[in-house]
Amino acid sequence: MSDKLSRRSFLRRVGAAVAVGSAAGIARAKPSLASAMDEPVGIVVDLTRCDGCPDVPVGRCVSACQKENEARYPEVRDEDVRDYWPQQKHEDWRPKRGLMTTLTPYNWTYVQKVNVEHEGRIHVLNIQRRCMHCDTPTCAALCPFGVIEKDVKGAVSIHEVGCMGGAKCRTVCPWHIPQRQAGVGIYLKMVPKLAGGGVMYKCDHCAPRMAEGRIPACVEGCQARLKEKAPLTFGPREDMLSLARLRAREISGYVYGDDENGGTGTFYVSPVPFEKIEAELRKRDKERFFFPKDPNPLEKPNLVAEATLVAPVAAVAGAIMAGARTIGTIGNEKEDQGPACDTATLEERSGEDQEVER
Amino acid sequence: MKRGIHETDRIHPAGEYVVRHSYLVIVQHWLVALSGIVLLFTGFGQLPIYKRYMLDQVPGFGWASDFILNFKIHMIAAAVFTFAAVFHLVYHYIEGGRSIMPMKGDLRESVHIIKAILKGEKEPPHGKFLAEQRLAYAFIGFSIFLLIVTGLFKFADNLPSVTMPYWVSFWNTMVHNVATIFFLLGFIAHIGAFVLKANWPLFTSMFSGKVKLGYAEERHPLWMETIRTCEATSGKMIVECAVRIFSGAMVATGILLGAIIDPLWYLLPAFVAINLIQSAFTRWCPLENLLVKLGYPRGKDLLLK
Repeated sequence: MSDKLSRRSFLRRVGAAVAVGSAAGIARAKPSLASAMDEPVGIVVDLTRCDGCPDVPVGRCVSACQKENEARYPEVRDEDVRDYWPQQKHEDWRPKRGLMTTLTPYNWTYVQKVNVEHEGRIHVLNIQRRCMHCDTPTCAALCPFGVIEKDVKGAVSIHEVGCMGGAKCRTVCPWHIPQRQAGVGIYLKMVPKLAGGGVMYKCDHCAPRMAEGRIPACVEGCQARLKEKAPLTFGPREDMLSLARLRAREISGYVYGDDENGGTGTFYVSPVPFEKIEAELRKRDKERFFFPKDPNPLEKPNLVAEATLVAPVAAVAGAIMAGARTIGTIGNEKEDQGPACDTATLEERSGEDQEVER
Repeated sequence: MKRGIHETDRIHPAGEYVVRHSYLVIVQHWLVALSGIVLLFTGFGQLPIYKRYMLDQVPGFGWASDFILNFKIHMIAAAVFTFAAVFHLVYHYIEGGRSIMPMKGDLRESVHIIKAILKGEKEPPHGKFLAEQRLAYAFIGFSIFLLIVTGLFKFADNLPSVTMPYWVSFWNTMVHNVATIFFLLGFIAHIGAFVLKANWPLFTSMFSGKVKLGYAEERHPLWMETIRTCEATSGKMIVECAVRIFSGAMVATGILLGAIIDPLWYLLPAFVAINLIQSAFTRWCPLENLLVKLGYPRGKDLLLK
């Protein structure tokens, strides 16, 4: 199945490289065409190596992320926070601003802790959670205002300026990653009582740092402590994918993120099957982040989309046939239905060929 | 204001009715109308409003807040909508009817007509369509054009094989959203016109295809005059042009599908190319033969006059 899919996507890429796109000014994110600088990137998260930094209160990836992105956290005025009428609720994370054990608008990565039994052994897993940076992000495709960008490096980021905070991206994200803060954003300048709910926040792969050619803060923080034994490894996506698969083979483990939602830029390597991690997490009452195996929900609609691209042509063909019938039959009907307009002119103008055809 | 009446317009032999729309046109209209309504509903369903405003609590509308389902329905309706819109343009281009195209002075005349209707005075003589219908057609048509073009771009952008620069996606989405507002306004105005009793016969004609002869004589004398004098439809399609449109459409599709779906589709334009070249030497073009059989006049036949 996965072989077939990758062959299909390969064919698509080959096709994509050749054609109309360039004429229409459409750039395609293709590793082979892009310069090394613009290559999609990825991160391997090796769960066999992460111990969750037991010597400090939160993992170094989390504290590094906080330090790096603090300046971009929402600053909200009390009077701007109000219920999403007619609902009697709103999402205000300011009281939990210091919370670093889950994703919030004020914390874009955290270490999920879970113990999983596998083949008679209990594995203590520390899992860095954040945006997966999908290859075909559902959030970006379905954002009603088109303000989620998938850039050439593969980073998926939410542009704060146009975000209305409807939280649709969170709903359609298989992992429900983006987090909403009320009382901030462009909706305040419109009709804040009736429309909009704030701004969505999540990991953007440290886009500002990547623009300077630096690696994401979490990776830097992790590697500063554990050097070459660090669970986080950053590099070109394809290399990271091979690394993850190699590592999984070494430990007879499992990879997550290579195929999920049509492929992502984050590759978890685990000594236990992800189904077991998922099952363990599902036992919890208040858990918010899981490891679903669902296919990309846009896969099927996209088949319809492909069909829709054919609709105009089918219409042209159909109209040419139907038009012919209209032009062609008016003359024939005239005997039964009395003089129809234009028949005379048509006959007059048609030469003998037309007569012979009849 | 007598211009380009439609091929099918004629006084019914029984003499009581005038045929205003062929069944093909009625089907076209309702395909656009119904798929358009579905598109509006599912399009607004792409905003998180049905959940917030609890429409999904209404029995039968539980699905309304499901974005993915909305999106699927939106896609299917878009296919129907696009088909009907393109069919409409090409069909009427071929058939030659131009009576709904806006004309100079339509804006002033519209104001005049609306005043007359409201004051109960006699309206100026109409062609097949009223001046404001011609304007509404242009306005809604323009909105639909924007919606289809940006919509197809969105479809392509969502495909895994295509990545557009962010600014293209962003502005494309913006235009799609603004055009949706245009379309909604045009739709409301279009429905609103039938509040006026004077327009009711036009409403029923969109089902029956006919209007009463008396009504047509009274309100659309210019149209009747055109029908009676058999004024020629302008721009009738000839087989040479039909062949070009058809083969051009095939080439465009082949390239598009080749780029987006599978390079095997490049065989389609290749086939068209070979056929075009060979037909220049052999004078054998299967499509041309088919179209002539169907009734298209050849260009030289029209010139022979």
